[in-house]
Amino acid sequence: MKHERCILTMIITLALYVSAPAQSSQKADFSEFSIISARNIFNSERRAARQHMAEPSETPAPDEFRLIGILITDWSSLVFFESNQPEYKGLRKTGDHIAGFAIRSIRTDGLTLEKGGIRHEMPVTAVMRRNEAEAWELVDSSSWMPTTTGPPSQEQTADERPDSGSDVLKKLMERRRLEGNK
Amino acid sequence: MQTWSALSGLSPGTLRPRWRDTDGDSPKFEMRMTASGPLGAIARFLYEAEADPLPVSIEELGMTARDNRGSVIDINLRFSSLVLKEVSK
Repeated sequence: MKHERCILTMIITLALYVSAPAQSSQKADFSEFSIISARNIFNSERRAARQHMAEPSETPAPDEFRLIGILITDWSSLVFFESNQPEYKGLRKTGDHIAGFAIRSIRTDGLTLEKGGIRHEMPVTAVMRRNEAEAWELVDSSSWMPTTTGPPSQEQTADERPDSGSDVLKKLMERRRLEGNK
Repeated sequence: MQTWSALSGLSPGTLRPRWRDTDGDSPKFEMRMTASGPLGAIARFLYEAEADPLPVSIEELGMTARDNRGSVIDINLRFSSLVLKEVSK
């Protein structure tokens, strides 16, 4: 009986000894190395792994329009607006509306807008911008970057620069001609 | 090695087996091998070699891509395995 117990103990010890190295050298799953083939280091066209970071929420640019020019002739007075919104872009004349404002008068240096009985004087190059409270306000035009005209080139003469009066007039005439052809 | 090839799908091009340190107590069985295949197959082959119960040691591994995309890679592999003298006899 004692001999049998001794054999049984030896068998259990042997079984534990055999199983121990098997546990310690547990085979890592090949799927853990899938990145090797997924991101082939020999592929010169591979891209960086996409970062799963929360992208900053982009706030839309505020609605705005800018008075870029005025054309007064014997038979009509026209104003030209540039805007980040298509509906505010383009040509208007006295009595037309833009962003809920009525164009009451057009002068050589600007125009008069009216909304809700309140009048706003808008000089040429001035910008009207809708603020966070959804109210329109006249803002400093120097901060506004035009999207249609680039910086003047070095080869341009002083008369050809966009800020010169003759150039503005030329552009207005050209735009009017294009509008008339449509 | 046939098992490694079968599991990885990487077929050896050339094989050059030889015995090393045969005078000592533990001679080494060395194998030089060249093969070509996709990186995934090469990775699997190396994984199987590493995970094999045989005492295999990879001593040298050269990898060369055939193209810019690394779709086919040539490898130059040298690995060895210890063999007990009693077994080798």
